[in-house]
Amino acid sequence: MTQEENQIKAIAGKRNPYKVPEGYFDRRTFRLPHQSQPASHKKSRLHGYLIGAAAAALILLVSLPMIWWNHEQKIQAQEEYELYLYSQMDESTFYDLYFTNY
Amino acid sequence: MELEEKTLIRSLQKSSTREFAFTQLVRKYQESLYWHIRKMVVVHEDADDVLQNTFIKAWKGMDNFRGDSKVSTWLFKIATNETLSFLAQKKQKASINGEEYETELIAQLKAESYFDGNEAEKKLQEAILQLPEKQRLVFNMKYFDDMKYEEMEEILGTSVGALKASYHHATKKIAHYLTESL
Repeated sequence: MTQEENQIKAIAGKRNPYKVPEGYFDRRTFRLPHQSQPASHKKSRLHGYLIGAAAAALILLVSLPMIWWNHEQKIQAQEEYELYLYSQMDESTFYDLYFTNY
Repeated sequence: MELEEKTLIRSLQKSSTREFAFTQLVRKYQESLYWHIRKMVVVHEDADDVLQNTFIKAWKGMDNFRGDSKVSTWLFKIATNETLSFLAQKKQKASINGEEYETELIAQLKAESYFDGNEAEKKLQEAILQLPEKQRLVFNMKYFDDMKYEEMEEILGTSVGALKASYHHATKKIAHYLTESL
């Protein structure tokens, strides 16, 4: 022990003068990061997922008939176009085309 | 390495026993880590926050712990880093407000309700708070905790020679302050 160290010890001692609230170390609990997430956060996350799923279902519900209708329209337009083409052909060209393709 | 320590390390490395082992580790080291932090940050609530962050960092960094050093050394290292970051943040905040953080710490010591030191003990703490942070750490660890320089070397990453010199300077300054002020 050095002279200065002895001097400090003689004047102020080596006692730790800080203290803690009564029972602090007994009561103190450490929550692991995955445990410390408040319940409300978990709830709000679940809530978010549910809203997302509901929104996706709604979009699907609205868009499916539109997709189907659009598809039907396309088929109808194609049929009308083909009918127009056939109507513009003379009979021999029509049969030539028919027997080449089928 | 003690058998108990080896068992603890093995349990920490296995995912099935990790959580339970970590709870044991918290129970075993929380008090010594708390005092290590508290002597640096002065205020109880701040020490409690830094201690909590220390354990969170330890839990998250568990995979990096290979068991080469003692568990206590590893934890003290994390606690020291957390304490120094906390003090750096406080210092930065104080400088923005145009204040000296050391002066603020001494004021906090005087106002601290969880302090029951006599006049001489208060003066000693005041003298310690005026030291540079690394020197304060070295002084606290050597003077109050009787820690070996070799262990301090591992925790602080400073050579034994430099630690001895730092402690020597710290004791000189403190002894001078005490004889002048009392």
